[in-house]
Amino acid sequence: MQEQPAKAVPEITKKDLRAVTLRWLFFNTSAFNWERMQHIAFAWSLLPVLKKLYPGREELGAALKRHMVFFNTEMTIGSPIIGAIAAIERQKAAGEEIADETINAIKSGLMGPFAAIGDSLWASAVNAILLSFAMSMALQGNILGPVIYAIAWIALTWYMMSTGINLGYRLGVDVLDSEFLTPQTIERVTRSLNILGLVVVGALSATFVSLSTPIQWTLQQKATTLQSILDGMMPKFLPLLWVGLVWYLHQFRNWSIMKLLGFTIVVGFVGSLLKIF
Amino acid sequence: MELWQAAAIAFAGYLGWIATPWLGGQPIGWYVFGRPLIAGTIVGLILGDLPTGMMIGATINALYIGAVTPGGAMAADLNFAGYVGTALAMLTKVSPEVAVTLAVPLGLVGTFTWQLFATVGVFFAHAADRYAEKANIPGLTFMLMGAPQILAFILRFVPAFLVIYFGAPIANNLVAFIPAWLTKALTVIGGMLPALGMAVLLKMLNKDNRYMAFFLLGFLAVAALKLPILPVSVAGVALALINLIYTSETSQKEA
Repeated sequence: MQEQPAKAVPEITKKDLRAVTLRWLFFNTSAFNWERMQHIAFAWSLLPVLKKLYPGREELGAALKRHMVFFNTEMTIGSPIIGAIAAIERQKAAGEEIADETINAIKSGLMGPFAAIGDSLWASAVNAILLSFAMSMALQGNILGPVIYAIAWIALTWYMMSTGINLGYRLGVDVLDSEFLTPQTIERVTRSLNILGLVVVGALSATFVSLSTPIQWTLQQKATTLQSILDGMMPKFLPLLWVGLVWYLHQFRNWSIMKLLGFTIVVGFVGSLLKIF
Repeated sequence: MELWQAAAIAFAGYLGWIATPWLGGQPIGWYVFGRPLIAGTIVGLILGDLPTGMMIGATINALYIGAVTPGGAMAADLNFAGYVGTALAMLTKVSPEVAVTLAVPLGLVGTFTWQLFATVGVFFAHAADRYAEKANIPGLTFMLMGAPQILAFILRFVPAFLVIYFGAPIANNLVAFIPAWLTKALTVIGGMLPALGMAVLLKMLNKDNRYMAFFLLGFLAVAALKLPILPVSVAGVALALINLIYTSETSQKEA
C-alpha cells in the first residue's frame, strides 16, 4: 500500500474526474498548434484537480506551467494518461518528492504508444468499420445509417474516454512505484501494441489505398493489360509500392506531410495525364 | 438558394471542424459531424432534400474512410469536402460521382486552413504561457476557447459561405466544362491520398524495420486473402499476445 501522505490533501472525487473528462473531450484540439500541440488543453483540462490540490495562486501557477510542455496523443485511447497525471499530481501535492521531469517523462513516454494504437485501431479501424456499415445503409437511402453511426460513435467515445480517465487515475500512482511497470515491461507491451498497430495499418492500407494502371498492349491480336498481369502476380501491388514509397520518404527522408501532399498531387496528375495510372 | 441556407451550411461546417469544441471537440465534432456522410445528411436537411444529400455525402465519404490526422498531419479536409462538396453538388444537380470530383480539390484546399490555424496558434500558446504562470485562469481559458475559436470561425465559416453562396452559379457552369482528364486525375489522387495517413502511422509504429513484417502480413491478409478489417485486427491482437508470450519467456530465462 501507499505510505501515508505527508500532508492532508483533498480527495479527488468522481465528479472532479468527470469535469476533467468533459473538458478534455470538448477542448483537446481547440488550441492546437505546431509548437506544443495539445499542451494548453492538457493543462486546462486538469484545472478542476489542480485547483483543488493547489489553493495558493503561486503553487497553481507552478503546476500549470509544468504542463505547458509538448503533449500530443490520440484523445480517446490516450485519455488514461490524463487520469494518471491527476493521481501523480495528488501525490506531489501531498508532499512526495516528484520532480517536474518525472511527470514530464511519464507524459512523453506514454503519449507515443497511446497515439499509435489510438490512431490506427480506434480512430481509423473501428471508425472505418462503423462508418462503412452506416454508409452502405445510407447508399440504400436509409436515414438510419447516419443516425446509428452518430449515436454509436458518441456513446463509444464517451464510454472509452470516461473509463480511460478513471482507470488512469486508479493506476496512476502505480505507474510511479509499481514493480510491474518497469521500463522493460513498458517496452515489451509497447512492442506488442506496435505489432497490433502494424497489422491494422497493413489491412487499412490494402483496403483504402487504391492505384491501378490502364497500360495495355496487343500481342497477336490479343489485348493484355498490365493490371491483369500484376493482379495475377500480387494483388494490390501498386498500392503496396505507393504506401512503401510514401512511408520511406516520410520516415527516412523526413518529408513533411505538406511536401508529401504536393508530391501525391504531382504524381497523380502527371501519372494520370501520361495514362500510367 | 437562400442566403440563410448558405450561412447554415457554412456554420454547420465550422461546428464539425477538427478544432471546434462546441459539438464534442475532435473526438465527436470531427469524427461524427465532420464526416462527409453526416455532413451530406445535414446539408440535405438544410437544402430540403435529405436523401440526395445523404447519398452524395456517403459517396464522398468513401474517399476518406479510415482517414486519421496523426500528429496533426491532415492529408485531406473531409469536412470541407463534405459540407461544401455536397452543397455545390446538390445546387448544381450533378451525380454523386461528379460530386466526388468537386470534393477532392475542396478537401485539398481545406487543409491549408488547418495549417494556418496551427501556425497562428503558436502565438496564442506563448500568450497562454504567461497566463498559466500567473495562474490567470480567465486568460488561459481565453487562449483555449476565445482567440483560437475566433480564428477558427473566420477560417472556416467565411470561405465555406463564400464558396457556397457565390460559387454555386459559377460551379454550375464549371461542372459542365470539367474535362474528363481532370476528373480522372482527381480520382487517381483521391485513391492515392490515404497512403499519407498510413505513412505517418507507420513512422510512429516502426521502431525496428524487421517489424514491418507485421505490416506486410496485415496487407496480405486483405489484399490476397480478401479478409475484412475486423478479422485481421483480431489476428493482430493474437500476434501481439504471442509476442508478449515469447518476450516474457526469454526474460524469464535470462533471469
